[in-house]
Amino acid sequence: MILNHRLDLTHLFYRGVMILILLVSSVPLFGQDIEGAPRHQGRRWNQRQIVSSGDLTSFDKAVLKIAKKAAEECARALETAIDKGIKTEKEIFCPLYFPVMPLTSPRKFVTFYDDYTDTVITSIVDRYLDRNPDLAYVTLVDRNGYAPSHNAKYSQPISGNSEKDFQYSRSKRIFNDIAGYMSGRNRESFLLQIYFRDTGERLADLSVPVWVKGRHWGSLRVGYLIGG
Amino acid sequence: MKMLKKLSFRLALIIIVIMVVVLVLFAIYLAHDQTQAMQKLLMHKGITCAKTGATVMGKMFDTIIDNGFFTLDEVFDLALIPIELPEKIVNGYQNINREQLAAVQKFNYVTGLDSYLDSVILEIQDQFLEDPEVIYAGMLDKNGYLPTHNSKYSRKLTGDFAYDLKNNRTKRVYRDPAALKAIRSMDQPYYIQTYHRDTGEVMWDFTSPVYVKGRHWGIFRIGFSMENTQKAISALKWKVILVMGSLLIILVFAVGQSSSLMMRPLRELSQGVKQVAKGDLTFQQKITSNDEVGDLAKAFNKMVTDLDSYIKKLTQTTSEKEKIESELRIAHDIQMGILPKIFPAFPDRKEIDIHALIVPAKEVGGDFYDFFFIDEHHLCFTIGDVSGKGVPASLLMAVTTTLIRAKTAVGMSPHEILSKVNADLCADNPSSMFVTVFLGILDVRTGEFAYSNGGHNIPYLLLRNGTIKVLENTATLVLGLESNFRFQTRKIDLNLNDGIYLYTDGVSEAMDRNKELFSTERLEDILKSSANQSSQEINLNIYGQLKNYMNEEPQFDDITMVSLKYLGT
Repeated sequence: MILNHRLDLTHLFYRGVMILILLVSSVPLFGQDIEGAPRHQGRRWNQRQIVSSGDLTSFDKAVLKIAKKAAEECARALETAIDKGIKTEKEIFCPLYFPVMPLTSPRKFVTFYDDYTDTVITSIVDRYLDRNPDLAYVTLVDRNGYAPSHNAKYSQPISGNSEKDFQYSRSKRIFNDIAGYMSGRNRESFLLQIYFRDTGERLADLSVPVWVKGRHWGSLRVGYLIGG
Repeated sequence: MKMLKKLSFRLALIIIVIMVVVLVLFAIYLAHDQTQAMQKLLMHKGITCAKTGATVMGKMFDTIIDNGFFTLDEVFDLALIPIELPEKIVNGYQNINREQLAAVQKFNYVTGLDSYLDSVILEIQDQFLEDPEVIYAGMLDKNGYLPTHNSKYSRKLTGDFAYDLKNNRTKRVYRDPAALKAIRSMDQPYYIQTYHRDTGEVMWDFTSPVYVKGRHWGIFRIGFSMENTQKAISALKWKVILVMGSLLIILVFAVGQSSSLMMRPLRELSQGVKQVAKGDLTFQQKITSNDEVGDLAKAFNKMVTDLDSYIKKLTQTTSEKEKIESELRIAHDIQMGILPKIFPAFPDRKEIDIHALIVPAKEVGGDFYDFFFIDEHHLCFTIGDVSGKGVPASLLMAVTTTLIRAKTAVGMSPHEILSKVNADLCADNPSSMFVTVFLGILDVRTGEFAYSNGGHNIPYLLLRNGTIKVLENTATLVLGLESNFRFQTRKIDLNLNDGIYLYTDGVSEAMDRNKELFSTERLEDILKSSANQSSQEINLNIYGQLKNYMNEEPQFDDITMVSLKYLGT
């Protein structure tokens, strides 16, 4: 009798945990609701604004110039890897992501090529970030929003402090919030989105497509605070 | 063996055997019950997990459609587009056959859904694996395609086929029977099956359907290791056995001790009985309890006390009896001393041949005889029987014989002697005992025989020609009752070789085994054939035949006979 009672309690507890997982995981992960963010029409991502080329400010144009240069440099770096036989084209384009062990939250992933980008791409994007203190980030993402190698600033090892890690250990994550997703997919000459970063800042995100061996590989994303 | 005989041990043994049976049954029941409970628990857990997983997945899809990430059509576009694996990996798989390779190469990339799922549902699915019993938890589409497996099954490909098969199971199409069954169960809220995984593990597989915008998208599967549950069950069984075993040991000890304690008074009593059996009648059992054993001890104590007093009494009685017997022996000696028993009694008197024989029934008899010369020529002889037996009879007998001797004087006739003796006996006879006496006086010169009877058996006259006659009786009454009774004297003349045979009723009333009397007829027959015999021969002959007749039967009365033959001058 006592035993059965205990089983029921365990059962209830387990069910409670499951419901909690359901509640915690379903809403905020997809909604990316941020405290204090203004709400319009009830939809958070509707605040993402896509800026057309006619509306670019002079600062935007200056950033676009930098982004294009950086994208070109990154594309060359990847092509060099293929040319030199460091990585094959299939490896560079393979869309398989393997979770980093031990597991992190949010998950980080390794690929067949991120070890190469860590050594080459990081130094390229950091150079652009260092030269332009107005920029929040300069990073390469693939078609799915995966950032194999972020700026050194954002590639710090996992510390265990989840708030700090969320801000500064962003490398090897798949950034597939709507802005990240769209920027990765973009094949136009540029895409300027004004959005709320998952860290809470209202940012302008300018992405320029990266072409490797004539194939669309991903994008170079540059983020900066509105108004420079 | 000796231990087996002990009552406490046997009692304890019986209780222990019963307990072992009960405990074993209880343990079996408990283990069975617990096993079922655990399986039930696992089942509940599995169903809950599968439903939760399926619901979360459905909500997730709903949300991404609502958010405009993917359209409904994109979500339901389940076409498989193979991923080109890097040459390095494919080269590593050269040794394996095409089917196996095909199995591994079924990676796909559906409009970016996989990478999206990789980043989103991976963490949710991994949450289920926090429970060590959960082996896998993942979502499959309608076709059995698994877009994102748990992290532990999504390891980086190495090119080692065996390793990759085991550690990278993501983005594969599962068409094995269990997976097909699970997919076909989509119309049920949940589905349970026992599943032998291709890695060899046995597990319980729980499936629940995933709905996206109200449409079946696929299923959520979660596998629970049976091994862990089995381990838990066997651990539980051991625990039950251990608990029951220790309980049994405690109980065995307790029962042994308590039964020994309970049996202690009984054991003490048994020792007491042994002591009493050895002869210690002063032993008294200590009464320590009020139960049945206490009652038994009380009864035992009473018995021992009684036994002691009985034995004391018996000893006393025996010693008294022995004393009396020794006194009786002395009395017998005295009595025998009183009666003349040296034969021939008068060796220098050729006129008579007299012989007497007495066999007392008890140590001291009531019969008596006597003979003596009153003067030179007159022989007085007498035979008598005192009423009763034993010491009083013998005392009265002694008194009577003494009185007869004392009262007999020269010239007195037999009835005068009897009258005087009678008067004296009557004078001092408070217990009203009486005596039968036959008294005769023979003048040895003439053969004149005068006699008087005081209630005794009348003697036989043995004529020399071999015929026998009963003497004519006189007026007769036993002595000691009526002091004024007038006794008579009769006289006959004896010829040479005539004889007189006197006897007591001990002779005629001797009985054989059938309680049949010896009778005067038999006596007369013997006497008839004893014409030429001496008085001693007559007595011994009669006594011999009497013994034969009685044949080991006990003698109830004194046997006394006096035989006299007149031989003349």
